[in-house]
Amino acid sequence: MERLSNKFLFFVLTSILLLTFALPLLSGAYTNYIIIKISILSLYAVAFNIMFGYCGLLSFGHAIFFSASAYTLGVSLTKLNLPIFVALLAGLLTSVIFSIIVGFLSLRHKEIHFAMITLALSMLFWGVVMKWRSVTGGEDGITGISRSISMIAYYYICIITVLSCLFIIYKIIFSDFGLLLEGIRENEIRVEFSAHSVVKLRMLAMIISGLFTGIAGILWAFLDGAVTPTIAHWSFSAVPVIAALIGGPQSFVGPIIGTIVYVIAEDFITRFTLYWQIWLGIVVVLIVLFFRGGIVGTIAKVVSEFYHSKLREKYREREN
Amino acid sequence: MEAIFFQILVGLSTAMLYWVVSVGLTFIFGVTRVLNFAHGSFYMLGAFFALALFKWTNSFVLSIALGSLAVGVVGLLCERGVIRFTYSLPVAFQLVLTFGLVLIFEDLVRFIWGSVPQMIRPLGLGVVTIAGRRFPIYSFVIMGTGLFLWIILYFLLLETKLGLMIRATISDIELAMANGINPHLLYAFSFFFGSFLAGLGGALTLPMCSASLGMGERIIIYSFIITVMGGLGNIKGAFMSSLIIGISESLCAFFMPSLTIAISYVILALVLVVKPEGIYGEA
Repeated sequence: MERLSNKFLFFVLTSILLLTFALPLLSGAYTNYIIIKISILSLYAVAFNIMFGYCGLLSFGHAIFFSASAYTLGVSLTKLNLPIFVALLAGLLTSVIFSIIVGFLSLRHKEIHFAMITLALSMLFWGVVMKWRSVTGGEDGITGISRSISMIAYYYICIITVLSCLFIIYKIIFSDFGLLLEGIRENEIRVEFSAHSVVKLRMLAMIISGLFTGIAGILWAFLDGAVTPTIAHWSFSAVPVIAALIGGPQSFVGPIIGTIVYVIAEDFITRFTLYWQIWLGIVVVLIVLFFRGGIVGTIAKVVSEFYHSKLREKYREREN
Repeated sequence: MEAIFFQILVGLSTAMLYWVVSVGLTFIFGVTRVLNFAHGSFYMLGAFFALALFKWTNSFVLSIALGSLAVGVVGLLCERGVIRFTYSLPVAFQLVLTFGLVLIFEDLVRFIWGSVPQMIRPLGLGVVTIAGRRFPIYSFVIMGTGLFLWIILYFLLLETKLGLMIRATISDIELAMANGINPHLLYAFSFFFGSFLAGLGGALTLPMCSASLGMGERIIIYSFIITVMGGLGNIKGAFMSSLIIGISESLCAFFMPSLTIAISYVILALVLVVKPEGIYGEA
């Protein structure tokens, strides 16, 4: 049932995203900007959810991978004047290296310990970014990253990159490897007994997650043409956590839906009030207390209840 | 040599501040198994409450006492209001729920007090000269509070019936319940007491630095580091690792100033690689 709803939702979402291809011809620059933002953050949230939803490890450190690639790209383009492909590769490589380091330090641990260690490393990374002025520009960040193409061309590049990344992640999640990850989440010892190294599998998941987060970071750096320390701060690690929770961490499309809701709600609420965090906080509290499956989980539950009640009715009629 | 002694003294006073805050966090974790993200917000609330009370009563001692008690009540309300529904949930949900509380408190404080950092006028306790440098007498007040708290906790946990109940709950909650201990009373108490300590820590910093919006963030990370390092829920561990973190940070600021921001993380990483369950193990 869940897989069915997953596939259905994936189909719906893909068609919505395909519709967005026509959008830049119809709408203004601001809408385009918001849609690019949604697509990048969706990739971020889905990549994060490889760890959270499928490995059951809550990471508060994904901002490291996101900003590591963005900063590397910024530095190699503006300060080292490297060609763009080298810069892209360097960015992705940095993300992978950082995910290996973070994974090495944190993956032996679970639950609270894992969350705390990733959080601490994230704070350390932020501290270094703020202090290492000669490279990272400190509080000002790095400006002047030129993407040398128009916004609309960039819009298409973004959408296509994000879609293909999502497709690859989808393939990974629903492969044997993804199944093993879920197996670890449900029962670690059994997976170990079937001759799989839990730590190695988790490390692989961490690297994949870090790599795709890095891609999102690179797209982000080109979007504004600047990298600021806000994306290295741990509160930026909380963005995919909240997005995944709003949408539903146990499904593939959950984080995407969560991101759409998150970005639009942020944009909408900040028009009326400065105090938008308080609403976000209240939403988070309500979700944890009442809708732990998120949007997708809640809908799937309602649909399956409806479906089952229909079945029951049919059955009763036949009996009569 | 004298300089090192001085740095250790400075480190001791920061360590005692860390200890007051982080023991609250580890106490709550020990009893309820919830790691409270909002602990840093309670610390911030403590500073702002004390600030408001100081403007009103003009007595520093009274404003610290009342302010931290008020934070304790806020913690109690949070526990009874929302956190108690998450005891049986996975850890991720508890963390995220308390993170939601952080967002709410942050904006509430911004709404009530504004985002400009606020200070009270100095207490005028003066300084003493130690090893040729000037050392604020107020730091001795913080050290004294920390040591006093150590004694109080020792007495509370080892000599009173409440302490017996708390220790029983920490070591085996099912057996404790079978012996007629109502865990919800203890949960409520631990949140009251832990938040009270966070508020106390926040209020105590007021004469040294201003009450500002981001102040909870730094301390919550330090408290996390200290509690994880000492062993989650382990009070003795929290004391020792506060000392380690506070003193090594202050020594590092003297010998290698550029490494100061990284030193506590490096120590945490070392401890976790050697002893994943913390210095004294999990309670």
